[in-house]
Amino acid sequence: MEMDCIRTQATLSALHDGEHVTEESAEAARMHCDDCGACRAFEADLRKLEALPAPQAPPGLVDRVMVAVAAIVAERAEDAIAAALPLEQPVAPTDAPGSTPRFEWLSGAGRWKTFGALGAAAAAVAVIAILVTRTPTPQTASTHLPSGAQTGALDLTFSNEAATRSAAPAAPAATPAPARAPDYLTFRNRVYAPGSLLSDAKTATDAIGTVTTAFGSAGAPTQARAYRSPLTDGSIVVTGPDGTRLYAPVIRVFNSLKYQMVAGNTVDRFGQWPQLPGRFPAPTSPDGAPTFIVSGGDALGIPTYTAAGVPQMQGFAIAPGTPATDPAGSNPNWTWWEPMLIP
Amino acid sequence: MTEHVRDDADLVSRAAAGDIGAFESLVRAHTDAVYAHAYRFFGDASAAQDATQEVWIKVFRSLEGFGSRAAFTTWLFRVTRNVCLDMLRSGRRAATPVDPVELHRIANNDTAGEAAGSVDLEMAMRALSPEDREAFNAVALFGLPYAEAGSVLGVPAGTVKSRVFRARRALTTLLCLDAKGGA
Repeated sequence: MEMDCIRTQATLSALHDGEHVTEESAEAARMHCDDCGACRAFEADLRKLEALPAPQAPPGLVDRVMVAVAAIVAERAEDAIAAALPLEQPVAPTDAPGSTPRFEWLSGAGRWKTFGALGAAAAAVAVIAILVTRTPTPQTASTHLPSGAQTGALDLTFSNEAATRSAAPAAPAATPAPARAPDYLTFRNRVYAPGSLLSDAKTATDAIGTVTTAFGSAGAPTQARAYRSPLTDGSIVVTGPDGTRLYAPVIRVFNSLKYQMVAGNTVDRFGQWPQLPGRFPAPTSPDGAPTFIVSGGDALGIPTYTAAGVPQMQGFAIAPGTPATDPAGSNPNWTWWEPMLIP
Repeated sequence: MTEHVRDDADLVSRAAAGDIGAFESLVRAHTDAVYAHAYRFFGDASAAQDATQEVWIKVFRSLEGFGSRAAFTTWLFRVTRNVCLDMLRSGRRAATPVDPVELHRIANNDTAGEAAGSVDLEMAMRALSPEDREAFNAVALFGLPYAEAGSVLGVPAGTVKSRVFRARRALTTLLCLDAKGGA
């Protein structure tokens, strides 16, 4: 290849990228191309090369990234909560002698001291912890429903049935709690419901810990080994009396992120309802007071509640008495939800 | 591109303010570029997926410090390049070696269709020198101007121009583009 061709093709390459080329160089390249088939072919090749598609990220990779991001948000939430709620150091009672130490920061002068601590904690947590407290936006409508689970395996399909309801925040209609909760179990305080029975236990991967449960029996709870799921959907694999089964996280979607129910109690046999984590005193009022404040509503019309010092992106509460089709079921207790983690 | 830069700046600003939806929009807009660079770096889809996830986690953790001093894509390319290099240096991932027989097949096989051309492109891409390949990716995948690419790669814009040109010459020759449908 002659020197003029090299110079011309380098100019054509730069022009192809939208780079600035002197008018003199561009004109010289054009004149050269008039007489040189090889350089005209190179110019055409540039377009063909650009038309060839580059590797594309596989489906699901963006979701995988966002789940990892949710895990970071969850970590920060735990740090913020730990920093903001010094539960083991009760504030001395002042004007509310009847209140418990846990409530103390919410009543009387002590609350200002704690609000100061909350503010400092919030300031110390970068990005999310500081700034995610914002006006709630309409939420994604998909839900993961452990519904109709009085007996046997649950229907764990996604449903948008309720998405057609009014998005206006409204108190959920009080529904009588069923006598028995779904077949929940807890792993690292997070709530799971039974999914598919696996035909081959080898589909499970490495052990990741144990769950304490009696499953559906009346006997004493025992420890069953939990395995990493072959799926990356947040599920776990547990071997029970009926075989090896996937247990899916009980989740709801909020602001494009999946939030999983977090239990304060060990749900150690099927039929038990999860309760609020111990750091949150049970509200004494239907509006969530004094622990929670209503912060908006999701696309299902279910109000979400925030706790002081906890940005809503890092966790929120749902009031009892949600419809049976809600991811919380008809839990008679308040429930707490945090970004889903992949165990 | 100016419009993209403005959109990115707005999304970055909102993401830094805690808007996870804005961050997801950034991820959706640029994951293909990150993945493609990692795929061409390692020659392996699994490694590329791990690298892509790591890149976005680093970006998410660093949003507050980004401060819009540069175009988002320039920063993203810098993070992507560093993550791939770190994964390689730490031994967590290795680059798949190029098979000369495959390159010979590309040069002699009159493949047709976009899919076949794309497969051959990725094979040919691995025959490039790392320097030429990353300059080409910075420009072709991330849309960086030569000067911006040069700032990340630590070389003058003129060197980027030479590397990109050399990469294109090699690719068009290896893929025999003029012989496959000839203009």
